[in-house]
Amino acid sequence: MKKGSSHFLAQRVSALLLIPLLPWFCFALASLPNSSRADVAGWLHSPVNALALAAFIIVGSYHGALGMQVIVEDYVSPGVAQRILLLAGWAVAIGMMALGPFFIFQIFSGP
Amino acid sequence: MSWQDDRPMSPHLQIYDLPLTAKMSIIFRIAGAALFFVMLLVVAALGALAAGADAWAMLRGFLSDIEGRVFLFLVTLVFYYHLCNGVRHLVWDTVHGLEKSSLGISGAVVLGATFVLTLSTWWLAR
Repeated sequence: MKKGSSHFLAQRVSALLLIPLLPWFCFALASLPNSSRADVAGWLHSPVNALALAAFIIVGSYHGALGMQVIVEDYVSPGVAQRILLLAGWAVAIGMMALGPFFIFQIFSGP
Repeated sequence: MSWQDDRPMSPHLQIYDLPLTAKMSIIFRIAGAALFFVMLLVVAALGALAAGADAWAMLRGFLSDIEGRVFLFLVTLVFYYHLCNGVRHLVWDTVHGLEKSSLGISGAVVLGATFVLTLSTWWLAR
């Protein structure tokens, strides 16, 4: 498969995965102002919530990196600056994919 | 330097009133880019929660204030807009709804669904 086709497909497949996760995550965000630290930690002690949030961060960061790549390719002419921005976007995304689940596991297994 | 050419100019982005479809398209892209940075904040907030009570207390102070609530509301609004217009794109990918007559309708549906989903989420979580 050509590079453009696999990018197109990856963006759509990750989008489909995010459809059910987004309303669930927005509900969690809307509940945040009325939650204590114990509430949020307790919420993440549920394996379903911990796994769903980790999936949301991994798939969301991946989908976001695909999108940022298109934005950089569209508005920054090919060259050193474009290469740096493309690398930076993916580096940030990979960092979020690693750190997000790591923090979630810490909270999940913590008090 | 002034414009010397007498030939007509093509529609200029700063004065041309873009149709709804075009406005929604650029907002969709801006929303996606903004959400990439929101994801960074989500991971940072999880780091604060994992780090302990002090780091979380600072964040919580902001989140329960009116500024924090408005911020969270806007984040959910942007998320739902990107979700709804993203679904519209997935439908377009199947070569449906691309007629000029249906673009205005699907645009209005996306905007309506965005507000309904945002408000009902906050109503459910109240």
